Amino acid sequence: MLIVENLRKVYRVHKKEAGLKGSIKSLFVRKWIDKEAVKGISFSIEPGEIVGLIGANGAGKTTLAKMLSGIIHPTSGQATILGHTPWHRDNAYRKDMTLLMGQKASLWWDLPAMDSYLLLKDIYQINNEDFNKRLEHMSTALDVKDQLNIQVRRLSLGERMKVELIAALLHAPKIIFLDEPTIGLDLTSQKAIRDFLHDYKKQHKPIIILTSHYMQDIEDLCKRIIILKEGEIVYDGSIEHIKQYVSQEKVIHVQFESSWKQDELDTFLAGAPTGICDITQTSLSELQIRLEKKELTSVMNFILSHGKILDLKIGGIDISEVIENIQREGISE
Amino acid sequence: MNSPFPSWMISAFKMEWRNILSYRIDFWINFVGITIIQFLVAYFLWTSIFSTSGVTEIKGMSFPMLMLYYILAPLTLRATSGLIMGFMFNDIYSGGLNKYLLYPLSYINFKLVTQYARTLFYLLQILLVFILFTLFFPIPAQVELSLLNSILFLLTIIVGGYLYFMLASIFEMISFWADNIWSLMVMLRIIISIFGGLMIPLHFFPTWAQQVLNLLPFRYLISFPIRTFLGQLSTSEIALGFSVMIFWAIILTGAVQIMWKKGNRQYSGIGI
Repeated sequence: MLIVENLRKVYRVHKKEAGLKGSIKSLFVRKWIDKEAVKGISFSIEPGEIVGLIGANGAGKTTLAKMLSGIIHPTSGQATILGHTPWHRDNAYRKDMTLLMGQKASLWWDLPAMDSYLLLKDIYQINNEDFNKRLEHMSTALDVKDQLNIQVRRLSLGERMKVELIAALLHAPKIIFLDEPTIGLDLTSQKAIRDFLHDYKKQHKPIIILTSHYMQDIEDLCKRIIILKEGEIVYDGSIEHIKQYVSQEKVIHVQFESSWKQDELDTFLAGAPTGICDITQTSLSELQIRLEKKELTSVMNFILSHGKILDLKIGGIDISEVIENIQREGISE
Repeated sequence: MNSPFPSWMISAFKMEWRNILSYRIDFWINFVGITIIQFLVAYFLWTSIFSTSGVTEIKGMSFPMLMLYYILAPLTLRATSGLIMGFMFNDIYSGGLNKYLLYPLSYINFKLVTQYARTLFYLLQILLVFILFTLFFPIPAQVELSLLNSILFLLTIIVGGYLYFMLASIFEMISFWADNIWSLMVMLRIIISIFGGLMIPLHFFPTWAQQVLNLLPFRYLISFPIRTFLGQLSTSEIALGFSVMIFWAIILTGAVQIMWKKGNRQYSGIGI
């Protein structure tokens, strides 16, 4: 069980004016500003749950992950994870926890991954049998068996990410923070990592908090998502709930043969049937229309009666668009 | 097989050795470069001093004795200082510290183990160089080699290495608060070189200065181990030296622990 109450983190950073003049000034006087990265958030997570943490750059995802993994101290607030306070960093907690940061290497750069694994085996006191079994299983599943004896710095990005993932999970942690685990990977590697995490979840029933910019990762792995905006939670709920929006709406892109003048567009808008949520003119002759799915026929008829059509595309809404929208405007219940 | 150390210490020790060996060129350049260049500089300088002044001894040190000292000094400092400058600064500055904070072990202990891995490595270099020296030059008459002195030498290197590690850690940990502390660390190096006996042997200093230096930690990184090894110190001098070392070890350990605690609260882990 993971419980977070009113967690808050303020960074104090100094502001420097650009240029040499600013640098010289800052030698004598420093302007400090407080940057509130996480603004008193609360939530809880049950074991066996994978929660997707979503937010724009600087929304506070990484800060949250760092506090919950104990790397940094919060400014105020509480967190209890399996009975431990993360930033007290007792060994019992650290043995049960892992944090994988996609942009940061944790393996020793100049050594083959295998050397690092052997050290981790001793750090986490993993017995031989478990170690061999897990390593065999993971390196087969992620297809990196041949890469384990090559210096980490000579591996490709995808291979490196996979050997990092193995390092993070060798001790079979119960609490897992994954910060962009598929960043910069090709689709095949992304899928391999997702499948692997699915499998891990089934086997170990851990608490997983996953941040990713790839919606595919979140959709595939998480039932629940938390959306952060400027350090605050703007949505905490099931991904299904958000998908309902997606399934209820359609988007039509239509390109007419002739361009539209403003008054023609106004007439068109005035006469439009109900069920249209939003119309944008993407170019002089093109429209993008978002509408309720059940009104598709009437809207299509209306469009066809308004001029000769060159091209027409009907599609669903991308879930990432909806989430982007929530991040911008909040959610309407 | 029960070892008195946690098993991670042994594998961290071994891993540091693999790390050192993965940079072969760096190893040879350091070894040959430092030893030979420092030696040649000292050789030409002191040859001319001895020949112009016409003496056979300076402050009780004959020319061969002085040369042996100058060969051993940089190697001894390397053994006691072990890790390269910036060993904590780099982790703190770049966020590399994050991974160590996740592991169920103490970061400082981990670094200390890697430091001693390097110390052992450099000790083997000292042995090699000493053997080479004795092949080409006679052992100076003033030198008294003995098993006891060699064991005491090992002990001074172990405790001296600890002192260096704690002293350097205090400087390196200032980077929790300040962005760049490179100049501070260079300053520490210079202080150690001068007051530790790398530049000139400490008994060339005036007596009052020597008495002060006896109470400071610096000479225990270079001068004290060498003179212990060569049998130049009396039993009471050695006993006093060890007492001072233990005193500083306790003080510096306390200071490091306080700084580590405070610095940790300050640490932002880089990036938001």
